Amino acid sequence: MSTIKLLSSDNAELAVDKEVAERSILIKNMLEDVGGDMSDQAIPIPNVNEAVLRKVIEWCEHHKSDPPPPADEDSDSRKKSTDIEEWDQKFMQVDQEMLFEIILAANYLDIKPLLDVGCKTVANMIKGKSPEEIRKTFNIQNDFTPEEEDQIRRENEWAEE
Amino acid sequence: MANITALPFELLFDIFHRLDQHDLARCKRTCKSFNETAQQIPLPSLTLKLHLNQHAWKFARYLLFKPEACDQLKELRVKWGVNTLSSSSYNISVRRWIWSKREIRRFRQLSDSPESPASRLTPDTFKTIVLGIDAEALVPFILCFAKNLEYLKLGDFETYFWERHSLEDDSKLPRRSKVLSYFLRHADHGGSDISVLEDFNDVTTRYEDSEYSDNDSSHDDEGGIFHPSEYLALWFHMNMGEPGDYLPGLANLKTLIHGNDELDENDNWYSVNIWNAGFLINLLYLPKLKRIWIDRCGTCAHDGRELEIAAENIEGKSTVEDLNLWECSLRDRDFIELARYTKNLTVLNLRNQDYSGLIDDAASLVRAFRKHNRKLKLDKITVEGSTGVEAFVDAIADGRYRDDPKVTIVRSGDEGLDYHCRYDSDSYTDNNSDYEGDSDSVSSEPA
Repeated sequence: MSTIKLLSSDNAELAVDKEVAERSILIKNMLEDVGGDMSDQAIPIPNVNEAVLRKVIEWCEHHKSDPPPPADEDSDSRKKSTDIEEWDQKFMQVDQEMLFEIILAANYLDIKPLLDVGCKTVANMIKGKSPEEIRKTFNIQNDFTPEEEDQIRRENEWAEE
Repeated sequence: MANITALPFELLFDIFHRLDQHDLARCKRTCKSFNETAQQIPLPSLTLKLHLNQHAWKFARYLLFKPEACDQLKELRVKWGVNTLSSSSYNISVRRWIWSKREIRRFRQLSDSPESPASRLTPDTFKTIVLGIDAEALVPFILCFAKNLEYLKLGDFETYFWERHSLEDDSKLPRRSKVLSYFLRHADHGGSDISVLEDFNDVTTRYEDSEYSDNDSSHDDEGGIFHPSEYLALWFHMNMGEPGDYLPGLANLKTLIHGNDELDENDNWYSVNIWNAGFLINLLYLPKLKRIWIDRCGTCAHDGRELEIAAENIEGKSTVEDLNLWECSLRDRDFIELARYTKNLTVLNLRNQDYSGLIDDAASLVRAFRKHNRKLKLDKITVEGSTGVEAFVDAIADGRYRDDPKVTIVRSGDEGLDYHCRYDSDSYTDNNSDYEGDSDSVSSEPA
């Protein structure tokens, strides 16, 4: 099995099975463009640092034999479901900084199933929480004036039933 | 440090897309960037609760300043709340809704501006909404904006309101117009309410001038508000429009459930809530409609609004493929009239459990519908009526299948009055030829 090298934003070189790296559509397309022969040259991943890249590769290793996602990936059933398989749940038990870095990396590297797991994880952190609890969870500043806040509360009262 | 607010719009959008409206409402209240993103999440379906916690009014308030909120609405269900309450001591608990001055100004903009889709609502509908007295008037208001709606379920509608009367005594049920006048009188005396209404001077003046009386059910509404229950109609009917000019929310509708199609046979329907079948033809002609499920409409002899008259100016045929009429007090000739406007039916379901509206000659009805609908297979027809089984079979299949084992007739009803006639579709293959002779007269426009 052929191995390729990835170069993180902080100049760490990581060796990965080609098959694993190709979970990233970005890398897969790059390899196709250059005819697949990248054995001696590291592919630069300028947006992702070593720690995050290792984490992403760990996920790709575990999921390397997954079937490709269904074609209607934007279907509502996928969007609505926030079920996450057990291994992925454990994988996502990281601090928030890492969680959002993984989401950003999955988005940049174009790994849709990983992005999906990341977004589900965050959605589950929001569910059932009050606005104040959401702010506390994500360390968000309330930047509304009391009048604005009251206005938005009134406008959205219908959805609070 | 990566924080949730550092995520680009499309990723936050992706996350929010997985939340329901309840959670989204809380996200909007969290901070400005959450609010902006959450506002972009489309609302694909909505259950509008007319009488629960003033839900419908609250949604209308939201829509008032965000009319695009309904752009992507595909499914709308209306809940009235009657069937969820125990029957014997039902009290109507409809509080008046009070709009702010800003909101009333906004309504006036909408009613006065020709570009606003809501400007097509009747003046009485606007007054009813602005006075906050009948949540059902919000249904056509919402339909002005839900231009991509595909599924509408009107639910267990009430053309009457209850007011501290037991359901056993139907004669004491007040009409909605009386409840309406009750609220109007109280609005006249409520100090703070008046100040809200000052912006709508002509409206309040007209109510103060009107004489409403609890004891007089035949009062003349001239100068006051016209209320649709006088015509056994909903605000929905008064505003739905007609062929070529429907409410935007009806223009793309594929399924219309006018009533409640989820009741089982033992559920008690309040037959007092009949709506005027004069509106039925216009519903049948909604341009994209495939399935229509109707309950409790009736022909009202007293106001002369009959199906023939309503259909006078209609050309062409209905696109409806699946027609269901339950507990409708229609005369046989109304059903036959309906058949003339159909062409594309593949399913026909006519059922009356209430004998007062029983179909006399089910065989003629089936014959009429089959004459106009060439794709209507026998096994997709269910009709209950008092026609004898043999006459029924004769009429439908010219007697040729009377002894055919594929033809099964299911009898139900205590007095043997109802028949479900079901036929195996294989039995009906080359039978079309029996109707060829009629086809010219069938396809010609109604005289």
